Amino acid sequence: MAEPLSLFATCLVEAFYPRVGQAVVEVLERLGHDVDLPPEQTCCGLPLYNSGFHDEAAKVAAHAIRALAGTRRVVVPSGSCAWMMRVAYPELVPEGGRALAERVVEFTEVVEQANVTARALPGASATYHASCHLERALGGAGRPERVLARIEGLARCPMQGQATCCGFGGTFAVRYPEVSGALLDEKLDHAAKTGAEKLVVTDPGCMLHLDGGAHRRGSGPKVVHLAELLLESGVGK
Amino acid sequence: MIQPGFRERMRLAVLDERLGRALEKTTSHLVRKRDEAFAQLEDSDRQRDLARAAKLRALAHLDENLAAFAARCRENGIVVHAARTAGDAAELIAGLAEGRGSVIKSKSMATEEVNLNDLLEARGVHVVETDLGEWAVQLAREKPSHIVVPALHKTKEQFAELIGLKVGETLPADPAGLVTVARRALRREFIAAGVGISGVNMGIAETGTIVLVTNEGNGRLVTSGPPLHIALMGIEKVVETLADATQILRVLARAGSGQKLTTYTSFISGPRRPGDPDGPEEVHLILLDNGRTEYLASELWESLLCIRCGVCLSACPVYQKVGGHAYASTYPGPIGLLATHMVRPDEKEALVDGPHASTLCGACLEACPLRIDIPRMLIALRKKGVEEKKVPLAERAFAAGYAALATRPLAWRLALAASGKAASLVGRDGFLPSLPSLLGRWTGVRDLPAPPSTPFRAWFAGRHG
Amino acid sequence: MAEPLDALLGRVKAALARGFVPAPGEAEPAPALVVEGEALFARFASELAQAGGELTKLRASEAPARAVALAAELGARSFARWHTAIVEPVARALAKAGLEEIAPADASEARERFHALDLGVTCADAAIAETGTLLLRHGEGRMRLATAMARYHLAIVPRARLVASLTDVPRLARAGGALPANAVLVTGPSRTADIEGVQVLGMHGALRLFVFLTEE
Repeated sequence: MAEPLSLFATCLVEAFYPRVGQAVVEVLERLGHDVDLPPEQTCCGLPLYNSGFHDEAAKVAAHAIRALAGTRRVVVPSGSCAWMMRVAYPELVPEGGRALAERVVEFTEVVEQANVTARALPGASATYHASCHLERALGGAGRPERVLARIEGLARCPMQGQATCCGFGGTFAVRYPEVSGALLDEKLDHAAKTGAEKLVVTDPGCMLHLDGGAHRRGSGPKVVHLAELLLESGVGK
Repeated sequence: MIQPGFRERMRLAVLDERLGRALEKTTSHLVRKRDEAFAQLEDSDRQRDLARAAKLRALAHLDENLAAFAARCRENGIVVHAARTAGDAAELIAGLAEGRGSVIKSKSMATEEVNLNDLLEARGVHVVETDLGEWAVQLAREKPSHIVVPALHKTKEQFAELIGLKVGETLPADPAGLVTVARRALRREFIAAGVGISGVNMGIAETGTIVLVTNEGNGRLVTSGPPLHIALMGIEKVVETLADATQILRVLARAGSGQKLTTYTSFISGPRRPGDPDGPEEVHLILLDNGRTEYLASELWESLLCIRCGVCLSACPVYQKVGGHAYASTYPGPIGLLATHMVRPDEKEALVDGPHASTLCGACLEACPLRIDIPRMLIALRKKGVEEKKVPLAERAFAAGYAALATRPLAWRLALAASGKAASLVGRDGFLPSLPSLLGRWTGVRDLPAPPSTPFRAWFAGRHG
Repeated sequence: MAEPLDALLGRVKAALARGFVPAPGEAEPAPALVVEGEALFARFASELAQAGGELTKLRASEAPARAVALAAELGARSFARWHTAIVEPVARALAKAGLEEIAPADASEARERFHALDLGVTCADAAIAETGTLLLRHGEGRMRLATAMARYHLAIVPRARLVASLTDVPRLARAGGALPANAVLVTGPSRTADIEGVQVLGMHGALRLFVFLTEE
C-alpha cells in the first residue's frame, strides 16, 4: 500500500472543475493511495497574497493549516497552490506554516515517485503547457513531461513557446484583460498548430483561462488536466 | 489632455500589430542570444553567482564603498558631487554645462531618469544623443522603449525619414547607408561639442574609475573629445574592485545582447594627465540618490543589484506584447516596475497599477544574470499599496469578504452550492454567458465554465460513503 | 542643487542599518580561463573572428610591409599612430609608401583633423583570448582619438602579450602601478543593430579591426 494522503482540492477545482478533482482521486487510488478530503478546507489564499492582502491571506492560511492538520501528506493538484503553501505559508504563519509546508506534495511529484505505467488510447496525441508556478517557482522543471513520457503510445506534439506564461496570472486576467487575452491567443495558436488532440496542463488556473479561451474559439485541442489524461490512459503501478 | 491610464496604454499597445511584430522579432532574438551566450560560458552558474556576490558586497558596504570611490576619484582629479533628487542632478549638470558650448551624450538611463535633455534645451543648450537609436528617439521627440535597443519600435523607413529630415536629404531605408549618414552627421556634432555627458555602468571604488560600455564607440568619443566630461551615476553602480568589475563584465553583455563583451569598455580614471595627448581637461561625476537610499532601507533593496542589461524586458511576456512606451517611464519592463516606483514613490500608478502589470510568471528572474527576484518584490509593492490604502475601497472590501468566506467552511460550501444553482439556470453546454462588471472583464476575453450543480465533495462522499 | 557628500553617506549608512541587505560572504576569486600554447592562440583567433576582428599571424619584421599592403588594399590615404617602439617601423613604412601621417599638436586639433582619418595604428598592451579582446592603455604618445575616430584600426601585438583570461585584466590594466587616465578594452569593430536588428559595422568607431600578432 502506498502512503495515505489528504487531498487539498483547490478552490478552482471545486468551483469549476470537479472532474479534475475526480480524476486526481481516481489516479491516486489506482496508485494504491488511500485519499481523504479534510472537510474544512476552502482556498489556499493565493489570490489574496498575490494582490498584497497579506493580513487576509494570513487568516486564510491559518484556517487552511487548521483544516489540514494531521499526519498525512497533503497532495495538491496545482503548482500555484502548492507554491503558496510551501513558500508563502511559512512567512505568513511561521509556526504552523512551516509544519504544513513540509507535508505538502504537488500531484505530479506523487505520480513521478510512483513509477507509473499507462497506455494511451489509440491515436491519442497531446501538447503540453508548462505552468509557471510548477516549473519555475516550485523548481519542478521537466517533471510533468517526464510523467507524460510514461504514457506509452501517446503522440507528443511539443508546441512553440511551451514555457511562456499563458497570461492568466490570477487577477491579472481581469486587471489587464487585453494583454491576458493576447497571451491566451498566442498560446492557443501555438497549441492548435501542433495538431494535437489534447492540450495538457497541470494548474487549474491555467486550465480555467485556456479552457475558457478554447471554448470561445470552438476549435483547437481540448484542454485537460494531466490527471484526466492519466486516468484515460489506464494509469496503474 | 488626460493621460490614459496604464490599462488603457496596454490595451492600445496590444492593438498595434506592427509594434507587436517588431517586439516579437527583437525580444525573441535577444532571449535566444542570451541563452546561447550562457550555454557557451564555462561554469555559467558559478559565474553568475560570483557577479551577484560582487554586487552584493558593494551594496552591503555601500557607505564605505561610496566614500572610498569618491576619495579615489578626487585623487584622480575627478570632481565629485552628490545630488539627492532628480531635479538637483539635472540642475547641477545644467549649471556645469551652461556656457561651455554644445553637448554630446552617450546613452544614459540616469540622464533620462532626471529629464536632463529637457532642462538643457530649456536653458538654450544644444544637446545631441550619439547612440544611433537614442538619436532617432531624440529626433522623434519620444522616449526610448528598451534599455538596450532604444528605438526597437521604429522601422527602417522611420529611421530614414527622421535622419533624412535632420540632414536635409531624402534617404533610402537601407540600414548600412543610414549608418554612414548618421556617422557623418554625428561626427560633426562631436567635433564641435564642448561638453560630453555620459552615464556610468560601474564605478570602481578601489581605483576611482568610471566604467562605460558601448558597441558603437560613441562612449569613447563623448568621454575623450570634448574638454569637459560630465558623468551621472546612480549610487548603486559602485563596485568594490577592478576584479569585481571584470566579473560583472563577464555576464553583462552575454545577458543583454548575447555578446561576450560589448565592443568597447572604457575605464576612465580622471581627466587627462600631464603628457597625455588627448582627453578631457575636466571630469565631473554626479552621484545620484533619487530614491535609491529609500530602497536600500527596504525589502526592495535587491532591485539595486541590477546592472541594466535589459534581458528581463526581452523575456517578459507582458513586455513582449506591449513594448516599452506602454509603461510610460524611463524604465520599462519588469525591473522597470520597481525602478519606476523607486523614482516616483508618491505616484499611485507606480505603486498600484505598475506592480500589477505582471503575471508573476518568473521569466525575468530566470533570465536575469544576477537572479534578482523581481516577482517577490512586485508582491511586496502590491502589499505596500494595500497598506498605504492606495488600493480602491471596492477591492479592499472584496478581499475582506473573500477572506471571511474562505475562513468559514459552511458559508464556503453554501456559496459553492449557490453558484452551482445559479449556473444551472443560465449556463449553456457547461459554460456561462457574458457576465457583468468584474466577471465581465473575464468573459470579455474568454468563456467561464459553469460551476457544477453536483459539488465535488458530494461526489467524494458518495464514493467513500 | 548639490548636497554635501557626507549627507549622502549618512543616508546610506542609516539605510543599511535598517538591516535589509544581507551580509555578503567573503570575496572568492573568479575562475580563470586556463589555456596555453597553440590552444591559446587558437582560442584568441576564434574569439577575435567571432567578434568580427581580422587576424594576421606574422614575424615582427614582416609587419611594416604587410601594413603597407593592407593600407593599399583599403585605399587608406591618411594615418595616425601611437608613438611606441612597436609601431615606429610600421609608421615609417606607411609614410614612405605615401600615406599622410596626421600628427595633431593637441586634442582639439586632433578632433578637427581626424574627422576623415582612414587608419589608426597602435600596439596593444594585451590580447585576451577568452573574448578576443585587446587592452589599450592611453597616455603619453598613445592617443585615444587615433583609434576612436579612425575608419580602420590596426593593432600590432607581440605574441608574448597574449593572455588567456579576463581575470588577467586587473593586473594588466594596472601595469606600472596604476590605471592610466583612460584605458579601453576593444572587442571587434564598432557595431550597431539599432535599425530593425540589422547588424551594421562602423557606427562611430572602426569599421574594421585588424590585429597583427607578431613573433620574433
